[in-house]
Amino acid sequence: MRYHHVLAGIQFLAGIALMAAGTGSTLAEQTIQTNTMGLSRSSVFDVPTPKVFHYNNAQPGESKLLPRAYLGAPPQISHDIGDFLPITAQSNMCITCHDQPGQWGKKREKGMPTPIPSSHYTDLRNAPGKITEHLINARYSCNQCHVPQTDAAPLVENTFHSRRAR
Amino acid sequence: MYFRDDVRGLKWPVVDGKETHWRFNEAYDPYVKKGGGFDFYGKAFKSLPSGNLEGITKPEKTSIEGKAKIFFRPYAAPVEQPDQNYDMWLSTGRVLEHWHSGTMTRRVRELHWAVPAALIYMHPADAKARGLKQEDTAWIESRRGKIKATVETKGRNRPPKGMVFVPWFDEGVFINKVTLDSTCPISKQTDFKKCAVKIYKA
Repeated sequence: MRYHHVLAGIQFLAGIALMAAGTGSTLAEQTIQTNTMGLSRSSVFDVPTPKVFHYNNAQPGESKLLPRAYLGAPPQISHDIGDFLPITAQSNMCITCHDQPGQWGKKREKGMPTPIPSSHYTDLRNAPGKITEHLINARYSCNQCHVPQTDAAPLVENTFHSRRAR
Repeated sequence: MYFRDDVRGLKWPVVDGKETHWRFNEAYDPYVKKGGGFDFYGKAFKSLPSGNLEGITKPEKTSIEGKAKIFFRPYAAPVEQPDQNYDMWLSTGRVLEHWHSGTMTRRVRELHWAVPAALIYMHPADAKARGLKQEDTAWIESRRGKIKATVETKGRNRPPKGMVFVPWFDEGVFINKVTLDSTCPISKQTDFKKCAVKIYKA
């Protein structure tokens, strides 16, 4: 929060400098434009209309799995989940397909759901190491860790490659 | 050591590979003196002046070593509360993907793709009452300023009726134009967590 505040302060000062520049000062050449600061590339003095982003609209079973950035990273959701939300106590559409303990250790057929792993059937706090027959409730809110991906263009070029990280 | 696989996810402090379920309790916390039962160890506030809500009545310091320190402070009403014109609470905060200002996390492809911009999270009934639906652009206006954001009613953050939530990582959705400029006189914290706003279609 504090960083945000400081950033706003810097940009405000930059704005004052700009106003002073209007009177013929050479400051203008040294002033950083506010819309070149920050990752959003918008001036804090403007009120931009945010672009609406769309999450992946591929149907379950038809999408390509997304790479994992590192070992242990929650897999990203590769298909549309618009109709599955919100997850409530009465309704969890993710479990309908992904609750497949019988598939553990087997090769995943193309187009078939990735089974929820045994770690999600283990109560890490009260009975670590014991795999139960049902999904542990602490793992019920799937979209707390697993997220779909939008078509947003990267803000900054990034050369990180997940394969090289392993 | 908290990055090691065998202690990951355990409650702090982890002593000899074991988590501490309850701190300051002899049965769970290895740092508590034996026979102490409950012992609020630590260097701070070994002795303090005492008093009541009006102020200090006994200036000389009394030893409260090993005891819990609880500070009773007078209630302070919010600086601003919703009324007929500005009828909703606004709270600001974080999303998991951009835990701080996004200066680092917004450069990570996966995190940026997951949450590319700050949204206005609101209750579906509140959205409907204002003629708004998922993916609409809405104005968020307070007495100090207004900004635009995309409406989200189905996401992870599901605020109660009467409250909206906007994260602050995205300078394109500059929510601090809307928040209060007031500071808690006791804790010195800025009051970005609550103010009155109105929401309408952009």
